[in-house]
Amino acid sequence: MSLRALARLLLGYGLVLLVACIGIHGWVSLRALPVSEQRVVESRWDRGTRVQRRVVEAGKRGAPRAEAPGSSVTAVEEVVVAEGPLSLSPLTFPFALVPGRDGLVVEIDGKTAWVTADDLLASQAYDHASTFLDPSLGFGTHQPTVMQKLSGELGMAPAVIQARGRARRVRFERHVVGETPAPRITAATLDRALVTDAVHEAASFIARGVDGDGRYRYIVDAVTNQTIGGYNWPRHAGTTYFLAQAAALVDDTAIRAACLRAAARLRDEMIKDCGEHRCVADGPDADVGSSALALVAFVEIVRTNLDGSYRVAAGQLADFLRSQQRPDGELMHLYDRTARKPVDVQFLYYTGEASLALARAHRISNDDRDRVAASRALAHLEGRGWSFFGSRYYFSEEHWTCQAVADLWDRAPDREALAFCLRWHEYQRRLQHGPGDSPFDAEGAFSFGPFITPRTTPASSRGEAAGAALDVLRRDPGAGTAETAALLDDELRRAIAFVLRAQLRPGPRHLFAGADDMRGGMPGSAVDLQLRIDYVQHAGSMMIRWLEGAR
Amino acid sequence: MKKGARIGFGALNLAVAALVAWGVFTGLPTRWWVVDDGAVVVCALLAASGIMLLVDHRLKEVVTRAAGFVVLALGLAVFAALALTASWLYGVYGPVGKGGAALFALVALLLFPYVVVLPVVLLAWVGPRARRPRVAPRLESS
Repeated sequence: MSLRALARLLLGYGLVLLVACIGIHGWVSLRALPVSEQRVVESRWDRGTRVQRRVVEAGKRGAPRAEAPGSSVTAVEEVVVAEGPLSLSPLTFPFALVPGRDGLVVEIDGKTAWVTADDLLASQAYDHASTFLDPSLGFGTHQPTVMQKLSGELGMAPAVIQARGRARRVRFERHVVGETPAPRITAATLDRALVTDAVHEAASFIARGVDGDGRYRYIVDAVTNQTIGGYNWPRHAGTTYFLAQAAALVDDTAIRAACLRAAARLRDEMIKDCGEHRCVADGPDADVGSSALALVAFVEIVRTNLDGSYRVAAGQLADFLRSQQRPDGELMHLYDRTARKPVDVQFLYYTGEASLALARAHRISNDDRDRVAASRALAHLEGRGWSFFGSRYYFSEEHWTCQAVADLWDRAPDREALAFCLRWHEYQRRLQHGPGDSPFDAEGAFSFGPFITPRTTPASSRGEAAGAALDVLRRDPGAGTAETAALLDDELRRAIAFVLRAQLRPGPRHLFAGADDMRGGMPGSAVDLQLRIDYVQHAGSMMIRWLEGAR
Repeated sequence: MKKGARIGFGALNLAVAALVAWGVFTGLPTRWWVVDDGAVVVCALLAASGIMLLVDHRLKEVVTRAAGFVVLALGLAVFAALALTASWLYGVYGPVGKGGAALFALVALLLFPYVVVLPVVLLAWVGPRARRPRVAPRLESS
């Protein structure tokens, strides 16, 4: 083939591909409907259960009827603002809907079934088709759940609906009848009263879930108000730290009592013999993370005068953490209580948590060994612990590291560690969503690309770390530039605004079996209505950091 | 050197120089002299070669050959560093390392056509430096 013929072939290929792309784009795009064509799906929900539905055709919409005051029924209108084609094929369907905004309508044999965005939220179908890297990172709409709902509505087998049904993708806008939407929270509208109130609500949500034995409701399904199984002691400890912070901020007996119940559970039942030392353990292997975050919590309880008796347990845990440290500063993250020796393995977060814990412990112990151990762990994290070609362009989770940098700054400033933390923030800011970066209400969130529903906890943890770095630059302006401080401030404020918009205050309360119990909780994302204790902890601790810095 | 190929390679070298500059100086979140300086060298050599090929400069072959050698050497070094780092991350850092390894492997594959394949093709196209013609020793007349 001559060069000219090859060039012609490639040009033809390019043109055909271009036409095909334009055609596919035009075919799958939603068509915005004028108001005169917009239908309305009216639903009535009672404690998370849909009790009534009707579809009002375009142009026949009357005045919406609000429920009587005191009624447990909530009337919700979902207005169809756009439509587009949709295939029910399990291959493409999971990626065809925008989570939280799109639903579908199916027509078959003269029958019509609607599955609205609220229906999909209530059934937790969004972001549950597959997982990526981590079981909590779901994506795609779960097709079997949707087919089951359609089957229930139409009285036909899913296979029949899939084979013969005519499906349309539908974009909804939701209005709760009789409610005026609260003004949208942005970085520019943050104020102390708003954030303090959000912290109070978050801590109250957690406090309501602490039982008489000091255990939290670890994960709550907001839709059903059921507690989901599983438990995690590092997260129990971290959440207790947040309650101690909140108890110092707001005058609330219930929060103080809940904090002390959860702390007592840790101290009196979970601290066990680990060889010569005492550590938090839930079995034959003790992990460093549980002891580190328990130490952070105990120090906060002592520091804020909630209960000075925790000083003894704090000293024991600091001893244990130091005993787990290697000569190069890294920590051995497990302790085998049966063999009475450390196990030199490493997990995410634990070294950063231990560095922060020892730095905090030094504040109440004045034992220089704690400060030195904290500094050595920090130096390892930013030095040998993250040293490879390209380590400036790819990072691990360093929110605890940045907090350790800030905590040590007045006693053992580590400029290399601060530079590492600031680089990490530069990297993170590249992942922070700006306005219009995705179809979600995601301004301020941190996420890889526009297709994944942004999760709340990355915004919270990065916000905590931004607050810590900002704290250093405010106390010691020579440590960084004013421009860097301004960037961190913007990063933090936008993260808080995103998290506040996600917090259930009250959120889609009509979808919840126990809406009052969910108030203040923090969902995994706008479409993941499972509320885990650490989602609230990171969000609350970030907000408290901001309140401390904004004084 | 055929005119069509000369102009094609000239344009390609300029485009790749711009791509490398854009990728390094706007795509990477932080500055690191090792990568930044390497990128400056690659951009400068490819841009110089591209311009000289387009204007049919008399030094075009020399500069293109030099650009090919240097970009290939740097490209092989970067490719090896990325591949070895991906292996290291995958082995050492658990789940975070697996994500990093996938990312580094992807970057290595994306770079490969521009900093390895392109200079190899350039060197093959421009060919080895022409040898000076041997001159027979002049016989001294007595």
